[in-house]
This record gives sequence, C-alpha cells and structure tokens, in this order.
Amino acid sequence: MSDLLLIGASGIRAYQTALNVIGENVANVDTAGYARRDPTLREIAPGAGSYPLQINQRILGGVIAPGVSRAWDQFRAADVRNSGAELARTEAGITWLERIETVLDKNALGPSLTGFFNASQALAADPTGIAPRTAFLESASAVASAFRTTGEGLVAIAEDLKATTELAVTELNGLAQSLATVNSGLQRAKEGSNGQAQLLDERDRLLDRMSTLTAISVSTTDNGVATVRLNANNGPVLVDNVDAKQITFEANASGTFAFTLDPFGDPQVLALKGGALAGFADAATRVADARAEIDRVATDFADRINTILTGGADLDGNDGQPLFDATGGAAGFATLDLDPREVAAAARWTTTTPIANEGIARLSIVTAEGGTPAPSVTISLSGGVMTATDPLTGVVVESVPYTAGTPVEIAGLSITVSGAAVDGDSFAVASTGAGSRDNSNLNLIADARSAGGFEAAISTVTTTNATALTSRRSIADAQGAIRDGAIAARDNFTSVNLDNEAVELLRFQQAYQASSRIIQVAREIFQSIIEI
Amino acid sequence: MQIGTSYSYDRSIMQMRGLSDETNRLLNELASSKRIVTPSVDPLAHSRIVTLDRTMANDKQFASNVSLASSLLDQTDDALSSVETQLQRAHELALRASNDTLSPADRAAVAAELASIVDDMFTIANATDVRGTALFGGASSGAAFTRDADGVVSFAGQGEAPPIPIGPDTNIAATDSGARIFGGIQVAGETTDLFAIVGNLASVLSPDSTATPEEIRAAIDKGIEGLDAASDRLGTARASVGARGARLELETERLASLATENEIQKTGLDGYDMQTTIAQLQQTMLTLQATQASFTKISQLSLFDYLR
Repeated sequence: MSDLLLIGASGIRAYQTALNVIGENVANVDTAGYARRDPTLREIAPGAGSYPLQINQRILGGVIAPGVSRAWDQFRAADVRNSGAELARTEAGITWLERIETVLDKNALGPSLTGFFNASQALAADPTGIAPRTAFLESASAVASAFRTTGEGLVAIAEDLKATTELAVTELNGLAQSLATVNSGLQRAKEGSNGQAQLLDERDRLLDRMSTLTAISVSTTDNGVATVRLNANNGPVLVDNVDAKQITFEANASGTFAFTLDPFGDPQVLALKGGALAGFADAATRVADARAEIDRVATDFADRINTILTGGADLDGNDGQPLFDATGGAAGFATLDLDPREVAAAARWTTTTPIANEGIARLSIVTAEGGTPAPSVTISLSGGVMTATDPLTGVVVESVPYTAGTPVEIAGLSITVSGAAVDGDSFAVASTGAGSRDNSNLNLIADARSAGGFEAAISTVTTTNATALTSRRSIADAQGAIRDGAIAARDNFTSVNLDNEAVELLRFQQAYQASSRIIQVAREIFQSIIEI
Repeated sequence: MQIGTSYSYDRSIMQMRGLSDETNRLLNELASSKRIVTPSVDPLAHSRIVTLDRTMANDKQFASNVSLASSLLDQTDDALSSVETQLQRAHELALRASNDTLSPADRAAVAAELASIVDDMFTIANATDVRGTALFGGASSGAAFTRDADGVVSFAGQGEAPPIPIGPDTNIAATDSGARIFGGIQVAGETTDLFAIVGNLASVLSPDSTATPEEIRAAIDKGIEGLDAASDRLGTARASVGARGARLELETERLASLATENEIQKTGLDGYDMQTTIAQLQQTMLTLQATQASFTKISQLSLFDYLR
C-alpha cells in the first residue's frame, strides 16, 4: 500500500506549488505587466506494473505540478497597445495645444491691438493734445508687450516640447535596448519555467510602455521572442531578436520635428503614426504654424504703422519717427523710444483748397520715394495735366498728365487726385509746420487696420488652435473608451482578481489538507497491517 | 467576465478624477461668470465674442469721440450765441447813433460801448476749447486771432479744423475755422470781417473822429449793412452747428443702443446661466460623493475578509 503514501505525498507537493502560485498572484496584484499565473497540474502517467501477474493492474502515480502557465492573449494585448498608442498621441497633442491656447488667449494680443487702434482714433479727435499722444504711446507699448509675451510664450512651448521629445526618444531607445536583452534571455529560458514567465512579463511591460510612445506592431516566436516594427506590421523594424535600432530626432529650422531610424547604420526618415511621439510632432507643427503666423502679423503690423508714421509730420513739424521694431519677430517686438510730441499725427503736406475752386477735387500727397520737394508749391489742374508752380516766383516747376485715383510724381511729391476738377482749379501745398492739428496721418492708421486685418488674423490663429483642441478632446474621449474596453478584455484574461484568488486559495488549501489526510490514512492502514 | 482588481481600482480613480475635473470646470464658470472660459470650450462662439468685443471697444472709442465732438459743438454754439447777442447790441447802438439829435457825449458813449463789443468778440473768437486749443483756430494750434497795435484784428490760424472720426470712415467737423465765421463778409463789394465792421463804427463815432456828418451817416449805413450780413453769416453757422449736433445726438443714441444690443448678443453667445451651472455643479458633486461612498463600500468587499 505504499502507493497511497506516494500519491498523498505527490498531492502535498503539487498543491504546495499551486498555493505558492496563488501567493505570487496575490503579491503581484498591482504589478504592471504581471500576467496571472495558473498552476499546471497533471496526473503522473500510470505505467505498467513490473510483475507479469500485475500486468493489467492500473498503477496510480498521483499528481505533479510541472510548471506554471502564464495567462496571456497576444491579440488582446496588441489591441491594448494599439488603442493605447492612438490615445497617447491624442492626449500628448491635447496637453500642448492647451498650452498654445493659453499663450494665444491670455496675453490679450487681439484686445491690445484694438486698444492701439482706438487710441489712434482718440488722438485723431485731439491731435495736438499731449495726453492722448501719451495714451497712444502707452497703447503701443501694450501692443509690443503682448506681441513679446505671445512670441516668447510660443518659443518657450517649442523649447519645452523639444526637451520632452528628447526625453521620450531617449526612453524609447532604452526600452528597445531592454527588449533586446529580454529577447536574448527568452531564447535561453526553459519552457514553462517561472523564469520564462518573468521574462515574458517584462517583455509585455516594455512593449506596453513602448506603445504609449509610438505605434508598434509586435510579432512573437514560440519561445516568446518579440520582433517590433514601427507604425504597422509592414513598418520599419525597431527590435529584431537581440538587435535594437536607435531613433534620433531633431527640430527643423521651422520648428517641425524629424525622426530618423538607425542614424549611424542605415538612416531612414521616420513618420511616426501613433503614440506620444507622434502627438509631440503634431504639436510641434502647430507651434511652428502659430509662431510663423504671429511673426508675420507682428512684422506686417510694424511695417505698415512705421511706414505711415515716418511719412507724416510730428507736433514740431519734423518728419515722423518709426514706432515699432519687429526685426526680432514677435518674441523680440519692441517700441522705439518716442516723445509724445514725436508722434506723427499730421500729414507731411498740408493742402489748402481755395474757396474759388469750382471743382470738388481733393489732393492726397506724400513725399515721393527719394523726392526732395520744395517747402511749398502750387498745384493746378487743367485739361488732364497737373502743373506745379513755385508760389513765390510763379515759375512752372513741372507739368505731368494725371488720372484721378492714380498717384503721379511731380516736383518730388506723389499726388493722388480724388474727385472731379474743373480746369483752372489750384491748390496751395506746403510742408506741414509745427503745431498742426491735422489728423489725416491717423486716418491712414485706421485704413491700415482694415487693410492689414491684424486682429482678425490673431483671432483666426486662436480659433484654429481651439477647434483642433476641441476635436481632439472628443476624439480622446472616444479613444479612451476604446482603450478601456481593450484593457477590460485583456484583463478578463490576464489580470489578478483577489476574489478569484481567494476561491482558488481555499480550493488548493483544501486539496492540500485532503492530501495530508491521505498520508495519514496510508499510515493507519500500514499500521493495521503491522498490528495483525 | 473578470475584472482585474488593479484595473477596478484604476477605473474608480479615473472616474472620480473625471468628476472632480468637471466640478472644477463648473466652479471656474461660476467664478468668471462665463461659460466660454477658454476658446476651446466653444471655438466658433468664442471667435464671434472676440469680434463683438472688438466692435464694442471701437464703439466705446467712437462714443467718446462723439461726446467730445458734441461738447465742442456746444461750445461753438455758446460762443456764436454770445457773438450774436453782441451783434444785436451793436445793431441797436448803430441805430441810436444814426439819430442826428444824439449829443456828442452820448455818441462818445456809443463809440466806447462799440469798442468794448470788439474787445468781447475778440475774446470769444479766441476762446480755447476743452482740448486746450483755440476753438476757431482751424488747423493750427496757436491763437485764432491776433490784434495789432492799430487794433486791427486778423485771423492767425490756418486752414480747416481736422474732422473727428466718429465711426468707421465717418468723420464730423466738430469745430469751424474762425476765418469762415467771422471773416469773408461781403459788404458793398468789399470783403471785410466782423471785427472791422464794428471797429469802423466805433472809430467813426469816437470823439477823435474827423468825419463830416455825411461821412458818419454813410459809415453808419454801411455798418448796419455789414452787421446784417454778419448776422446772416452767424445764423447760417449756428444752423450748421445745430444740424451737426443733432446728427451727433442720433449717433450717441445709436451707439448706446448698439452697446446694449451687443452686450445682450454676447451674453447669448456665451450662454452662461448661473442657475444651470449651479444645478450642474450640485449634480456633479452629488455624483462624486456617491461614487466615493460606493467605492469605499465596494473596496471593503473582499473574500479574504471572510476566510477565517
């Protein structure tokens, strides 16, 4: 009857292993990448008896726990990785779009431009007042500061994004290297051993982490060695057996990102299709676009306003000074130091229209490019010809044909006639003197406002970004639900549930106790034979 | 279906985090009294609000320009009305002087009063406006009129006063050039100005005058003719000022009602409603509390507790 003792002993050993497995599961309930272990129990194969008389007698061998199986489903794991990569891309994008939104919205660039243009209108109502001139310069400083903080904010985002991407790329390279090491271990690990299960856990943890950084496609061999391709199953290979390739990244001059696979071997340009890295690349493009547009608006604004101001006359009758310096783009936007009296509110040339004129023609005059006009000149219109005369000597300076609405150059001036003239109409034109209350240069600023559309352009950048952000948030909600579903489906298979473990614990504990009872019975039976 | 213990905890944490994010968002709405706290809440409505904000800021500036222009026109009208009163007085004095029975002393008194009328009108014509510049100075910022040693008053300004912008591409001439109001008056084929008309009367009637009675009569007749022409001129100018003032009043009303309308439209676009937000906040907080309470209960449930 020694068989019964052996069977009992095999039960003790097998259920001890099983209980250990439950203990391991409970201990690792919260370990990332841990897949539930199930004890494998197998009956010890009954062999034929050794005596001819016992040839038909079944010999019972008991139970053995030859190893542990790891609860794993590679397809569900791939689902989690793919949906996770999609979600990571969207969420990475959202984080950075939110920062762009804050910079574009909170620096009040649009409102400060509105304030500037309205200050110029206030100045137009009181062109010689020092108070409105000071207010105008203050509003110009506010515009410069808004351009600067917006520009600097976007530069800071671009820098942070670059640093974050560097870190992520470094991490991805590290993960690929670690996976190659795990692959090498898996080649040597014994099938069904706990060592192999641990390596597989590590492999899956690495793969899950990689999939949050970039979209990957994984294929595994029978012994668990993983081959990782980027993007899809026909994408470039990142990890092949024990060989891991490196990825490098650099920011182009425009601020967009370029990834290169295997830069020191066989360099290959990468377009990453998922994961946080793809999200970072998306965000980099957005930041670059926003920066380019803000810089364009800043330069255009400064150029137009400076051109208008330098073409006018200030309160002391001097030529106007430029107000803005946008050579450093939005981030370097600055105001030039102007005295309130130096704001050129008046046009450079004052035209006096005699009451005697019979036509309704009006002249708008600027100094011609490179022109050196006399301080005063009389312009008369007759038969489609414009004549400039020296008002003191009556000598004709120049005569040119003209068409209403088109500027013509005459006597160093560029003159545009509007309205119909009657032959013989004349105008006294003089360089604007000190203390002029003319405000027509400020009207040009109002014209530049509508022609330049600066405020609308800023609003468009903000709205474009906001729209992208809104759509990404709803996409992220949907992708989050898909990812949650994929995790639930995988966990259904692989995760540890404490209640289940408790039940299994009870079961194996009872089986263990029953096996020890078998040993006791075997001993008692043996004892009863001895006592015969 | 088996739910992993770790996943069930993670899931609860995410749900509770989502609810507190929502609570936070609603609190933000309440604190700022608007629904569109950031552009991404509603990009389309936000871009419309930005445009409205800009329109409202422009209208505010235009309203301030309109009010400045109105006060300038009021001041002009006051000044012109005073000048009109002075002219009427000059007219009365001229008529009294034309009476042949007037004693030389009375005539001297009339002459003195006419001279003081010129002084008064010179002061009025040189009045400064609320901006601190000459009301009738035209395009130049110095004094509008100067008087030389002989008492001859002449226009010192230049051109026309700059119009004030009161709307996109809309301007109004809030002040008039003194040259057009006080000068350029045609009397008996000569161009003269108001100061000269009254000043000539004063000098011809003064005791120092060497004029013959006939010359005095002719001068008085010419003076009365000039005063009539000047009154006409002032009447026209005041009518023009009044018409512009009426236009500005309309503009003020338009801007005021536009401001109200824009404010209403903005509120509508933003769609913030305190009651709704408070109700949502309470609902969210209740849900959060319920989730927390049930999480605490459920997480206490473990079969291990019952294994004794």
